Amino acid sequence: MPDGGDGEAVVVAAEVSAGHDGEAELTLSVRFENGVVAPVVLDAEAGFDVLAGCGAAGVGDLVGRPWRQVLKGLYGAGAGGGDCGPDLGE
Amino acid sequence: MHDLVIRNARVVDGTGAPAYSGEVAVKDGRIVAVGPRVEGPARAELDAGGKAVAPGFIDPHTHFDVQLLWDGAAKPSLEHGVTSIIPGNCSLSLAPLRAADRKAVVGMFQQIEELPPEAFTIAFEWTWEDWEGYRRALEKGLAINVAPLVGHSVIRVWVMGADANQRAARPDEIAAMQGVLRQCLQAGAIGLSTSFVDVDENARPVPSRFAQFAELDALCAVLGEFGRMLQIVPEFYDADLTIARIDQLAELSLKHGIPTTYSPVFDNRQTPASVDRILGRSAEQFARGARVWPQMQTRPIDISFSLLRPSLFFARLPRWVRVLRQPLEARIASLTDPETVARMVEDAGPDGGERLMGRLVVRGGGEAPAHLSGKTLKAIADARGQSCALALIEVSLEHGLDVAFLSANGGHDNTDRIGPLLARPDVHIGAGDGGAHLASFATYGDTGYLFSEFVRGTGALSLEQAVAKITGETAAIWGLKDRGLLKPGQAADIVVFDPDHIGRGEERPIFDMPGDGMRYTRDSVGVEAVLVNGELAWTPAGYTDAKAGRICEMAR
Repeated sequence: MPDGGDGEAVVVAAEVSAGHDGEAELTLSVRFENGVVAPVVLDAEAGFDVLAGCGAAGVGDLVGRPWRQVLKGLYGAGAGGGDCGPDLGE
Repeated sequence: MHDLVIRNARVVDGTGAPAYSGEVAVKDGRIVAVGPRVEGPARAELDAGGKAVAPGFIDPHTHFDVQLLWDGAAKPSLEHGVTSIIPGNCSLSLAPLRAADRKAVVGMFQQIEELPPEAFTIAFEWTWEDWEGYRRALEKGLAINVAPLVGHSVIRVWVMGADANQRAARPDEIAAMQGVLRQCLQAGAIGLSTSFVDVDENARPVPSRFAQFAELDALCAVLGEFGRMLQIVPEFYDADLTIARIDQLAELSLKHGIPTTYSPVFDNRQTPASVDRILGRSAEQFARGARVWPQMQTRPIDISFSLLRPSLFFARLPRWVRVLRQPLEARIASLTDPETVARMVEDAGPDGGERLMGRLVVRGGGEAPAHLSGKTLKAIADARGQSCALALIEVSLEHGLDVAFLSANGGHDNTDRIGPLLARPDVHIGAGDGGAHLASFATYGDTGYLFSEFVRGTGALSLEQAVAKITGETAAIWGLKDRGLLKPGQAADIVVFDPDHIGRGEERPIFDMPGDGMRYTRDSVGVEAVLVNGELAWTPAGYTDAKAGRICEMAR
C-alpha cells in the first residue's frame, strides 16, 4: 500500500468512474491519517485540474501522492498552475 | 352500464398482493369493479389476453415541465406505461415566473434539460406568471397526469430578483417566499424541490444553493401546513455530504411532519461502500420516525463523450490527456499530426486500444454519421482496417470531432447488487430524470428495465413487488389521491403489459424537439395498452386523440 509518509493522508487508488449525468469522473480513494479509506469524486474540470496541477501524466500517477499535494494541484490549477508539478498543456 | 371492462386479465393491483385472473371495470374515468368476475354489461371490452393489467406507472422524478406545453403525453413516457409524472424537480419549475425573469430561468432549464433554444421561443406561448396561470396553461391538452413540484430557485427569483443567485435571503424575503409557496400549493403544486448541486448555463450555482438553513426550514414549515413533499438533490458525489443532508432532511421531516426525498442514489464499483452507508443512514432516520426517501434509478449509467470536450474517459492515457486538453484549434492540429497520432495509438496499448475502446458504440445525433450509428468501434475499425484508437480519432476528425461515443454500463450496472437495493422497502424507485439530459442519453424506459432486469432477470423482485414499487407505493409516498391502485374509486390509470417481454428498446436519436432539435429516446417493449383516467391513450398502433390527463389531486 502506498504511503504518503509521516502518517498523512495519501491517494491509494485513482479510477475513472461514471457520473450521474453520463460524464466520466475521477474517483480517488484517499487513506486518511486515522486509517479510514474514503472516496473523493471529481468531475471532469476538477479531475483535469488535478492532473495538470500535480504534473500527473495520467490517473495512475496520482496513486501514492499525499492528499495535501493533490489539493494544492486542484486549487492551484485555477490560479495558473499548482506548485506540485508542471502543467501538461503542450 | 360500464364504459369499459378489461377481461382475461392477470390483475396486479399495485398493493403487492398476488396476481390473479380477473377483470377490471371502468366508468366515468374511475375503476368501479375489480375481481375474478365483473358483473354487468359494458359499452366496450378489452381482452387482455392473459397479460398483466396493473395501475399506470408513476414516475416521481422528471423534467418534462417545458415539453408538456407542446406535448401533453410527455412522449415517450406514456407508451412505457407511465400515466402520472412529477415534474418540477431539482429546484426548477416554470412558475411562479415573471416575464422579466424568464431569460434567467430558461438558462437553467437549458443547462439541465439540454433543450434547444427554440423550445422556449416557438413551441408555446408564455401566458402566465403565477402558478394558477401556469396550471391553466398546463392543463390544456394533457394526455398524461401531472403532479408538479414548484422549484425553490424560481421562488427565490420571484422574491429576490437578480439577487436570487447572489446572497442569502433577509427575514422579510423569507416570509415573502413562504407566502409564494403557500399560494403555489393552494393552486396545485404538490410540493417543493430544491438543489444543493445544480448550476446554470454559466456554471454558476442555481439560486436555491444560496439559501441558508433558516430559509429552507421556513419553507418546510409551509409544506407542513399541507403535509407535502420536499425533494432535494444532495451532494450525491460524496457519501458523507449526502449523509449530512439526510440528517438535515430528517430533522425537517420530524419538525414539520413532511415527507422528504433525495436523488440520485446510485452504485459504482469505484465507491462500493457509499450506497450502503447512505441507505443505512436513511434507515436509521426512518427508525426515528422521519420520512427520508432515497430515490434510486433502475437503469445503469453510460459514459458518453466526444473529442469536442476533454473527457476523463481518457484519463488513463497520458498522451490523450495532453492532446485533448488543448484548445480546439490546437487539438485538431495535434489529431492531424501523424507523429502525435502514432504516439496516441501507442499509448492506447499494444492492441491498438481494442480492450479500452473496442466496445465503445457510436451514437446517433449531432453530426454523427448515420451509417455508423449503433456500431461498435471495433466493428468500425475492422471495416476500415485500422486500430480502434486510430479509428476513433479519424472518425471524429471526419465529422468535426462531433461524434458521440458511448461506453455502456459505466456505473450502477451490477444487477445482482442493485436488485436487492431496489427491493428494499425503504428505497423509492425513481430518479429517472425523464425529459432531461436530452442530448446526452435517453431517460425513458426505466420501468420496462425494472421488469426485464430485476423481475425476469435476477428475480430480485416479484412481478407484484415491482408493480407496487412504481404504483401504489409511489402514490402513497407522495400522497397522490386516488392513484396507484386497481381498486374501486381509484382513477382508471391502467397499463396492460406482457410480463414476459416488457423491457426497453435500444437507445436511438430522434429529431422531434422544437426546431428539429435532437434527443435520445427508447421505444417501449411489451406494453400493450395504456389508459389514462379511463381513456385509451396509447396502443402499439400509436397515440390516440385522448386528452384525459389531469393535474393530480393530493390526498391531503
